[in-house]
Amino acid sequence: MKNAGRWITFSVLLLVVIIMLIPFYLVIINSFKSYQEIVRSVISLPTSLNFDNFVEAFYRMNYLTAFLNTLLVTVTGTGGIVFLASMAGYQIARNNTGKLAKIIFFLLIIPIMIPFQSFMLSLVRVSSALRIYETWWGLALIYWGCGVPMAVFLYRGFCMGIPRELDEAAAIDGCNAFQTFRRIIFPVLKPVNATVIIINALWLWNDFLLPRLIIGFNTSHFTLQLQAVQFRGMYKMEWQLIMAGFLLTLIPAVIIYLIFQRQIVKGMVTGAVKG
Amino acid sequence: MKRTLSIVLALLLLVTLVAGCTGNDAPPAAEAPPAAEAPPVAEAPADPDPDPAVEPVTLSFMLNSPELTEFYNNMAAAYYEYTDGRVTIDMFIEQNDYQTLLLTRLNAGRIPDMFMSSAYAENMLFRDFTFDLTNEPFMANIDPNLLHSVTVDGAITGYPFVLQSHGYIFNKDLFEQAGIEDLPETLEELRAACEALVAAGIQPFATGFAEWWVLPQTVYPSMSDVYNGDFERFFADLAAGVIEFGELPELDFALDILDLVYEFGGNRPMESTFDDQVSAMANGTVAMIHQGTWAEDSIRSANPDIRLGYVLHPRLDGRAVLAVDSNLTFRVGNTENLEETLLWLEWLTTSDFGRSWIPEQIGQISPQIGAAMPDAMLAEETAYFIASGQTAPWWIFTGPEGTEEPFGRVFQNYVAGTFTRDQVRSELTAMFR
Amino acid sequence: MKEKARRMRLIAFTTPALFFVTIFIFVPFFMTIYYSFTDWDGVRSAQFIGVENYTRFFNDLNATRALRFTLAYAAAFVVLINVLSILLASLLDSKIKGKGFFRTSFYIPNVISLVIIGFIWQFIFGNVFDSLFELTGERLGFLQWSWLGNRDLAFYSVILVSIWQALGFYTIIYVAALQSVPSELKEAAAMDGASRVRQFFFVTIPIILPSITFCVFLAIANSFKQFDLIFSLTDGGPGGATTTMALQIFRTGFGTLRQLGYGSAQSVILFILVAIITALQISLFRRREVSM
Repeated sequence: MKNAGRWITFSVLLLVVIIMLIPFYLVIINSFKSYQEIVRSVISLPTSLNFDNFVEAFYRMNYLTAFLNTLLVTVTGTGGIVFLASMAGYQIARNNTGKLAKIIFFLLIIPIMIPFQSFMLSLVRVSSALRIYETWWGLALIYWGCGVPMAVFLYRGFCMGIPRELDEAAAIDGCNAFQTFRRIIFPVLKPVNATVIIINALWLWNDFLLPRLIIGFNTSHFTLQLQAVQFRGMYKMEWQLIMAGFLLTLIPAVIIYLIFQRQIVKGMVTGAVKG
Repeated sequence: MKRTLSIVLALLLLVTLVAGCTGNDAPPAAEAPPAAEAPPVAEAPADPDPDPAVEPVTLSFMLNSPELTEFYNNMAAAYYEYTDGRVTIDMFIEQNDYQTLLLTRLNAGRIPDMFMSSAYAENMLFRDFTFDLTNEPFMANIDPNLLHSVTVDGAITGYPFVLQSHGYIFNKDLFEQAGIEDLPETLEELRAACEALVAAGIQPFATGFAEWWVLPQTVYPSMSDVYNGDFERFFADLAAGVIEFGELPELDFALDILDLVYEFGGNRPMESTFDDQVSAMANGTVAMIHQGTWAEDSIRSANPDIRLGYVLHPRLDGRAVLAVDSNLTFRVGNTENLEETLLWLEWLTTSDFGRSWIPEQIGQISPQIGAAMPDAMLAEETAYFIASGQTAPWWIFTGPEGTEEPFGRVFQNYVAGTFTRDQVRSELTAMFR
Repeated sequence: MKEKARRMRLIAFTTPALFFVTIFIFVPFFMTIYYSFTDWDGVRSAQFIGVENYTRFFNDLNATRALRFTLAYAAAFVVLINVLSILLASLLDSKIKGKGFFRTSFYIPNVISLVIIGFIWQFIFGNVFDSLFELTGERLGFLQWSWLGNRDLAFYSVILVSIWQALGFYTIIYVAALQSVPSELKEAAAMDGASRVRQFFFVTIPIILPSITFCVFLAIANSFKQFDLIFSLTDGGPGGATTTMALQIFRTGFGTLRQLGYGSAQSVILFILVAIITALQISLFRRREVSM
């Protein structure tokens, strides 16, 4: 490949990266400014690195509670999805010639086709009828239902590739079905577990509409995203606080991403290339 | 196999039916206990020494208008002190989707002890969940002229919270700068004023058109001469198809006004939010915004030296008016804490704190008889226009319940250019039939 | 006997998952279908009105506009995102330094929640553009335009932000797909005298077709479901110019008129639309794949 070509490619890519990251640059520099500085110029660098905005945003967003709520929902939600879907996917894969298994599999993955908006109005009714409305754990339960279809699809695909000898060896050792699953199969599921966890955790952490509908008015159960929207309304045009608040909200996700980016990329790719 | 399938389907159906049926079981409105007519209570009754056996109580309130959060908190703190720490008030304050959230809660059986709502058409909407205040002695302290918005068939369904007004809030200094001496009262005069402002290098309006609710409040007062103010007959005729909303000359007039505001609303009229309006007004960047008494506090805290007044809504019949009404209502929920909530409301109406809360702290006009006039420019203007008879009620709220948002959005679509005048006409006609 | 044990195992392991999927997806979905034939405001009881909601849809200016916008938005997004990310991926697939850095940075916008992205871009289209305008001597007129408030410009703004956010995601998939193309094939084509461009279209693209199918499917699904981003960027404005069907359903059902019956009908129509389009897309692409 000619050198000139390489340089052009590199420059184009660099340009794209700049476009990708400029909005964050703007958020970061403005979060350190005072209101007057922002009014004067939005794109200039801050005169000093003062953290007052962050402190105030933290306090007014009720950050700790919101962070905790989001964490609880994400962990409980993701955990439940992994647990339910791995079990189901495993047994479906083991029985994949049977008619019953085929029907169950179909029922479990057909919801992938149903857009959320096509049942969200009634979902609110169901959750209030079940008395789980306006709670973080009610939200997590709903995510179990919504996240299982895609996860089952992935688990079944993966489990088809696990040799049956493993099951048989465990049976010979006297394990029943659950023990087999727990001790032998589940550890082998590490790669697809990583994929499922990452996809769902990211989705749950950033989701807005479902928490908006289910948590409703109950501010003590607000997630970070609900606070972010609320918070922009509360602050009117105090952009310095808004920017600081946004940073506080998105930093956890970015940190997790940077740490786990290898697995994330691998997981996405596996799902896509396997089709 | 087939049997399993049909059992599963039957179960699904059953669950569906059950889920669909629950949630409609709100308790019926309690019968108001008969009470003798009592003279207006002048002082708050001394809080009886709390019986040591009496449990502390937490009342749960749902409120909108988050700009008043600080005042809500002060009130809750004051009542806590008054009851020697016995009664705590938990407040949920929200503006976006307030109505939906409130109704979902009500349907889930979680009725707040007190919640805010609009008056008029919403009286019936919430009747099943609230307690009528007709026979409460402290209601005699409320200006009877303001009770019509909450009264249905002689029953008082809610407590008027505050008297509000809205119009074109204008910056007196900027008007002087542009050489405008007489306040405009017709569309032509308004246009002339805008041109004078532009000539002086001042942007006339911050439109607020990004908010759907700014549209109806800009429009309907300029239509308040319809049917000579007989709104009940107006809506009845609309529903019966005797007249069509789209045919009204007042509608075309209102659209002309919107055109004017849009024209003189700067280079991004559709992106202007309420916050933009407030800050533009406070900064002196614009001369007029269409808003009301609720905006004054925010404007003046950003710019204490500003001098505000009202430009009235022009009308086809030539009489310009200020839109004045008591629409924000406190409703007492039919809950187990009913007695406590009534005690609270009584305190709000009769105690020193309660009587000074709205006029002195919030700075708006209180519906209580004999309340002080707030130190607020727009409140003074309101009192002036009430005295000179240049007001119109918030009549749009007497129409079919819930139409305020779609009504506003039709006009919002018009100014955004996604609806033509004809489409506006047909949409509105269909809306009120 | 063993057969029965097998069945019991299957049922035991799958029932929990089925349970949650049923309560939280199937039940609400069937309820929605039921309510779509009623007139219901969430307070009074639902009245059966047959297909009135459906006929109303086709005469409803706002709903039909949302339908048109959703189709236009989806079409623009699906085409642009796939074309741009394939291009970007092929640039990344070359012998340049810093691939890891580029990949990491491209993906970052995808990690941020859509509502925050919407607000950040609101800030950019407004305050930042204003600042830039002043800084460049008030000459670049397009910075003064109402990018979110002009009904025609708003469409482009929404597409721009959507692409900005999603580009990294699709690029990474395509990078992996491109890496799986055996270089011998490319070399063979080069030796046959094919130009780089022809190589690309006749060798590379056919091989990565499964990934293209997948990405197109995903892009269609995501664009039809789009809510968060538009809600925070334009709130469907100005005047409904950027309202998708998802947002329209939300407004209809949760607006002050609470038309839950009519909103449900719109939900069903959306489902049918998505089902038809994805079924078509998958069968179309699968046929292409098989023939390759």
